[in-house]
Amino acid sequence: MSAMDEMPNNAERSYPSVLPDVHDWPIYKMARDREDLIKVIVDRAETDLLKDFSKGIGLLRHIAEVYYQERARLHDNPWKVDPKDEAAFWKRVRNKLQYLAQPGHEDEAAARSLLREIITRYTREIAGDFNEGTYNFARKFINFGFSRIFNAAQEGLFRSFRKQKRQLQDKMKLIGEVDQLRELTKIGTVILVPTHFSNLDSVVIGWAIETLGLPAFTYGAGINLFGHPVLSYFMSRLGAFKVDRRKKNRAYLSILKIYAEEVLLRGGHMLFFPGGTRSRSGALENRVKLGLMGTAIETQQRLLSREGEAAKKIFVVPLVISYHSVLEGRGLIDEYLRQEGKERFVLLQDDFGSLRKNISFAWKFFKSSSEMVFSFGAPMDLFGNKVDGQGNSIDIYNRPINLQDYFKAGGKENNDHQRNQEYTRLLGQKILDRFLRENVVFSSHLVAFAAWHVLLKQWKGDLYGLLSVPEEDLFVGHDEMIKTVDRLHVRLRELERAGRLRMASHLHLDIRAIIEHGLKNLGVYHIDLPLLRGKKGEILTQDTRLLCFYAHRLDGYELEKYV
Amino acid sequence: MQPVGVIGSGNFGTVIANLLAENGDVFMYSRRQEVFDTVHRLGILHGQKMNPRIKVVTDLAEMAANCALIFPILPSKFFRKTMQLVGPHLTPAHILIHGTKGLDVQQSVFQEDEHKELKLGLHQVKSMSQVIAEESCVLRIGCISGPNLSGEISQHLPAGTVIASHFDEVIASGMAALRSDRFMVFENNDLIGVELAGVLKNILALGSGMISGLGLGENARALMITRGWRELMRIAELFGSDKSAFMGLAGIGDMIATCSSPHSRNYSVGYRMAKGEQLHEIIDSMDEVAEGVNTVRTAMGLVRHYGLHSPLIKSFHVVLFEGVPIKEAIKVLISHNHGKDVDFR
Repeated sequence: MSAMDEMPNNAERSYPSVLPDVHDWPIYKMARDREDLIKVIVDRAETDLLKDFSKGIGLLRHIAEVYYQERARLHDNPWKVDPKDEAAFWKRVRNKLQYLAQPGHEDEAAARSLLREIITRYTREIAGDFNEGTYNFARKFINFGFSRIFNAAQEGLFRSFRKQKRQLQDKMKLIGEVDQLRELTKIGTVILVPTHFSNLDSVVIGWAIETLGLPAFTYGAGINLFGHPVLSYFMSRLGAFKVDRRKKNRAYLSILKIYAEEVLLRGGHMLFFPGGTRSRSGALENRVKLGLMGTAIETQQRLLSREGEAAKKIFVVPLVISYHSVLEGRGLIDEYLRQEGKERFVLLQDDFGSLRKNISFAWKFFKSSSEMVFSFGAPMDLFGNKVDGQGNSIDIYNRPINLQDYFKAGGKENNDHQRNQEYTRLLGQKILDRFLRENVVFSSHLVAFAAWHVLLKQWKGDLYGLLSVPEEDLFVGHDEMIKTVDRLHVRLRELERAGRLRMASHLHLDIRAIIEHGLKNLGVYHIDLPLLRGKKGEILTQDTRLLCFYAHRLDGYELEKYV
Repeated sequence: MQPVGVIGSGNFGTVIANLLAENGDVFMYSRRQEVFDTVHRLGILHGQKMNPRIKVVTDLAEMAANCALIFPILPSKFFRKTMQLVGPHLTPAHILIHGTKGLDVQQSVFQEDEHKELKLGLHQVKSMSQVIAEESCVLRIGCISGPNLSGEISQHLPAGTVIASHFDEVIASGMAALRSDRFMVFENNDLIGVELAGVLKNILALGSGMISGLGLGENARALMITRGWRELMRIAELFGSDKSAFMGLAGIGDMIATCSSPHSRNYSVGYRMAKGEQLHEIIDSMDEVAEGVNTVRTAMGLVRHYGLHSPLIKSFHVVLFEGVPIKEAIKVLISHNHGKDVDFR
């Protein structure tokens, strides 16, 4: 710990903590009141499910359905992370079910208590926790770790930590509406919706949230991640709640929904990756998983009908993270091509990573001086309206909007599930649109897009044809590259002026310098480089698939016709 | 029941206002004072007798304050402007169902289009429902579309229409307001598809007029319409339509009415061109715009931009704007079309 104690303390940060006392954080309060939270959720879930399960085939059969799906899961898809008593628990459920199903043994109360037992087990599994000490440790650890990663090999090990810290902030840029984000965490509940390219995202976002002086956010993490002892230790103490994608039964899903709702009702800020998983293609998300967003809209309606216009509001803040390299880019694009290409992918040659490659990978990772930009979009309400400093929703004519109006029909508030589903879908579209707008284009994205599309044009758009050509046979001429990048650059500037994307400051260099900058930074820690310069000044690739992955980052702007 | 609003006092707006008035009170907005005066003096507009339950207003704020359900029925070129006027009076509690068959093309675009290579991306071409969403905070949006010739409805001849929206409650409230025993209302969730079918079918009406003018016969007409229909569906797909609208009343239904009626403006433009008149002469001689002419240009811009397979749209475009003789251009109908009959589901 001695090394870490030398880290600069909070007071020296550019962003003072929004809520200096951790004990005021919603996430802390929820952890403190964990037992109460669990009881509330169990009660609500029981009421909902009893109502739901009393329909149709009846309570007992519904519980049997849950049991049946769980037995199948245990049998077909057991994971290391499953608790040891899992099989025994469900066996007991089966025995009780069988007993209660016998003629003469019908017992409504016993069936109810069996349901409650299942609900309680699920809720306890899902519910997150938060430990102040672990949090303090983790934030120091992450700051320290990042500084090392970005500086180690090139800067020398003996630089002062203070200096490293400053360097870190040069390389990790937080741009956009951060001040308003800070304000809104005091007024309402914030759902941060980031793009997702890498497993490192949740770590770097954690760093960004902390650097901005925000209270910790909670998020749903795949239960499989809790199988790793160290990861599990941290995650379960840092407010993450567990989501088990294998469990698809109605009881589990409705508890998960109620859990998220309770967190939002209690003002717990959340982190939610709307893409669901990492982008496989390398493109910005083009479809969204809406689950949590739908819950947020229903929660907002509950808050409004309970507390009127003054009700606490839920805000959505889009976040786009830009980097020159994605650690696991190669694996992701392979998965994408396998899914999209099917038999055409089978015909492509597989290659295997060697030991040499892996060692080289790690070294390059530490050595590269990649910058990272966090682009925070202007906060909006759940209907896509902008919000002012006090959190009021504002329409395009700068008039205040009363959110209650969204839930009214013929002058009165009413519940309309289908309507809320549509609002959710529209919100999803707004988020995707905002991703494109907040995206910060890097030189590396531009050169990858240009080179890839020139090659694709050489192959008349035949993607799998291009991918099957040996890399040695591919090149883009020096002049053609300059012309193409120039044309794209002109278009990007137009889009930037129209507010349809952002450009990194290094993209205001001249074209040749941009190309050099892009080549120097694009995916540099991969063993085989996506792009490099040949002896005659031509542009070469060592890995077409990686190039394809990075080129996708500029999809969605209809830039193809400028190649 | 709250009164229902109609924005626009054209032929079709008046028809809709009269239909709505059969079920309740109606506020009809007109920006022109003389409309207000005429209705008050004579009780007649566009030769239609006005239901006394229709109140003409010239103040959008008054309408927005009184009506939660509003039908904007406007020419497409005034649509965005009018929405910008009404937008500041609308709240998320409003429901808007428009009845405008047209597209909103970014203004600057056509002025530049003295050249032939105009390309249009989706961000430059908007449907009316998209315009409403852009110019107001209203999310509950729908449209009505179908074979609804104003003249016939005002004579109380039977007709049907489609209300399209993603929101079930929009469809339900539109139905309740409009339905009567002479006006059937069907529902569809493919909003963009219903909107586009109503606009794009005008291209085929032009073509249908050309076929008649050239005297190519009914076989050729059926050939042109069927192949052309597929081209229109490709454009609708671009916008995210699931194409179901094209099979329904607002699709096939409206197309049949438009392509078989020699009275339609678009049809007569095609017919007169086939008879040797110049486009500008025809346009100058008509008091109302033939939307199909602009629609061909817009569609062609999209076709170029997205590289769609659209031989017929291309041939209409060269006839209208590139001075290619119609007999030359129409050859694509026979020379170019071979292959699968139905390649969509």
